[in-house]
Amino acid sequence: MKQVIKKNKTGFRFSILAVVCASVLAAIWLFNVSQSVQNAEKRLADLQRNVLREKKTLRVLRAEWDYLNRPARLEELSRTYLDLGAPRATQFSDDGADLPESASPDVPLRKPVAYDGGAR
Amino acid sequence: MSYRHFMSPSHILRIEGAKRSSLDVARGRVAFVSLMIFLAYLVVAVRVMDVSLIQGEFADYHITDQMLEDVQLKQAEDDGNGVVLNVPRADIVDRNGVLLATSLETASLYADPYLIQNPADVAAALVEAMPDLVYGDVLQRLQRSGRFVWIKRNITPDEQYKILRIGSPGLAFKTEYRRFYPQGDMAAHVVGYTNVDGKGLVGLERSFDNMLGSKSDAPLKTTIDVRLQHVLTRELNKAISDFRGVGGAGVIMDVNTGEVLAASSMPDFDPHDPTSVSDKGAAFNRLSLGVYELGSTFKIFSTAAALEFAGAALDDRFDARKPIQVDRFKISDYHAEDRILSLPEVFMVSSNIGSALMGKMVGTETMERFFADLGLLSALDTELKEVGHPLVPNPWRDINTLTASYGHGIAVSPLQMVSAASSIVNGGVRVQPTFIYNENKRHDDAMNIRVVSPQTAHRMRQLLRLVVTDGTGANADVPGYRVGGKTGTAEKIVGGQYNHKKLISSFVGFFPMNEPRYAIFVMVDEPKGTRESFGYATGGWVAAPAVNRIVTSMAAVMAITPQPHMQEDSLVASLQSYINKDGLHGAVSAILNHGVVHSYEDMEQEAEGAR
Repeated sequence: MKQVIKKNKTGFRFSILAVVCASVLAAIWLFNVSQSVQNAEKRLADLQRNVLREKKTLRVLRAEWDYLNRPARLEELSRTYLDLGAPRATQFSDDGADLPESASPDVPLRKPVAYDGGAR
Repeated sequence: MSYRHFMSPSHILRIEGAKRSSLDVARGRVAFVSLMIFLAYLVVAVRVMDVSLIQGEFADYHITDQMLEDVQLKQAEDDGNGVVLNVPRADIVDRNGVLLATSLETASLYADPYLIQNPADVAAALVEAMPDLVYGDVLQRLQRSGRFVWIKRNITPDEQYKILRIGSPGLAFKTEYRRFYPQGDMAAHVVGYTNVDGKGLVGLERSFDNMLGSKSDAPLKTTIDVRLQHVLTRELNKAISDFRGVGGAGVIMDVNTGEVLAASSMPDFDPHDPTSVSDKGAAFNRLSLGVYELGSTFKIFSTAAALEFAGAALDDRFDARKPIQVDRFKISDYHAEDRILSLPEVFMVSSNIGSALMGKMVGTETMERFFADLGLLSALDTELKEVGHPLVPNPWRDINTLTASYGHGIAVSPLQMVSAASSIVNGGVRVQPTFIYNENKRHDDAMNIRVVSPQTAHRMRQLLRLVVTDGTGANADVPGYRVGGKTGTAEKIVGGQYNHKKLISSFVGFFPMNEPRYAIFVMVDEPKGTRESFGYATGGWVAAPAVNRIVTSMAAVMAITPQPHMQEDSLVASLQSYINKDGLHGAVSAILNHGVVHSYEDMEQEAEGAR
């Protein structure tokens, strides 16, 4: 009889404790999950913000790139810093024998002298 | 080992059963409640630490920026590859993807007058930061009663920095998109511009206003090539300044597809600065909207018509010894040869009399129909809305056929003339100029309309090449590239009369002539002769050299291999025997004496006899 009562009494108490523990654990777990979801959402928003920012920057950079590569500007730069002109029809050759043996070590950086191909 | 055994070790003394006092129960409950309260406080404490210390530590950006971006994030859609930037207006790019127009974020400054304590100081500081503002105007705005007033839209980052330094709580920024044109005034008439609210007003910005504004991410791809556009603009400007013209137009077009690779109209404008647009009619597109009597370039059409419909042969000869007098009109030659010319010679020396006779051979009805087939009698059908309606004689009488044969009495837009000429040169298939790159359309043969036979097209190629090798277009010749073309010089009509001093000088060139790919057109409005041109301001002196330089640069830009020099003139070799090299007094070859001689009087008499 005594045994039974004791058994019942402690069984009752432990089930409450177990439920309380379980609910505390569940609460902690839930808190964790909700925190990690919030963190993930925050991170996602951060990343998307970054992507958005990068995309905006890319647009600006692209516009700047094409602005700086305007043919008029490149022409001006090449005139200032390079001694090269546009190739002329007379400078083309379809005869392999006309080509030099190999690239000479020092290619002088100056305007190519017009080669008239002996045509005129 | 049971659970119970673990939880209640036997050495702890316990009061059990009914002996357990109610005091113990109460104590237990108090302890339990205390524990719960403690836990609750702990949770709060941990959360406070989390929010204030842990998360607060990493908030390194300004709260306003973040809020602004969050608003944009909410509007942004995710297409699977991450967020899409919702740009209010799509880009316009050239055929290689180089930006012609793009939308970029800029800050616009507004004020909340309610929050501004000392408008005078703030206005003074603003004018100092942005010198283009007017003090009185700014002060007036700051003293208004509302809560929102624009100060300046689309300011630069530098200006924004200066305004932030002022630090007035009543000044704030709103991000807006603004249209930028990285290529500046290049192809300004084709690309066009938008107003401050992003509505397209001119060019493709206007034609495709709805499409560009529909938030589609795909850019509008044009057929323009910025490199060629630069070459064309540069040479056109040089021709205009060398010959002190008031304006000009130019185009580079693919003769087979009608793709416009470069198009220019001078004077042009800066699309960023709409005030420059209203100046001097700079927004007027002389290439597609302006209609002009273009003169001798029309001989391409009359000669092609004579070959195609009137059965003219190369050895037909035309009496150009004296001007044709019809009623009060007198048709005479600019470079009078005073002799009987063969058909190639008429084209080569650009004889108005000879061309008028060809027009007479063709007949009014056929000529009018042919012009309609070439698209010269109705407004151009292209993507630009700025297209001019041709001025066509109405009613079309016989005399109009004669004058139209050498490009007078009929005014069309230059782009229209170039398309019509390309339709003949490309082998006889009608082309429409297009500004939008469309890979599918390029191979669509279903729409093809044949205007002349391949035989006539080949003849015309030979004749056009002859103009450059031996005729009025000699200045356009680039060795190795077989340029062909036709000069055009027309007098402008000023106050209802042809003005001998005010010319429209043009040249339409094609290359390589054995298999034409590109049409190049240059026109200068009111050129004046120079010492270098011996006082001439004709198409052969003004526009042909510009076409020459364009072809030279184009060949380098597009890496076009030159033709070997030996085969150079095979195109015109067969025509040489029809040309009297020594003019009036030289020996006349046997072939030259062979063909039928057409003269106006004979033709009139024939017509009389027929009646």
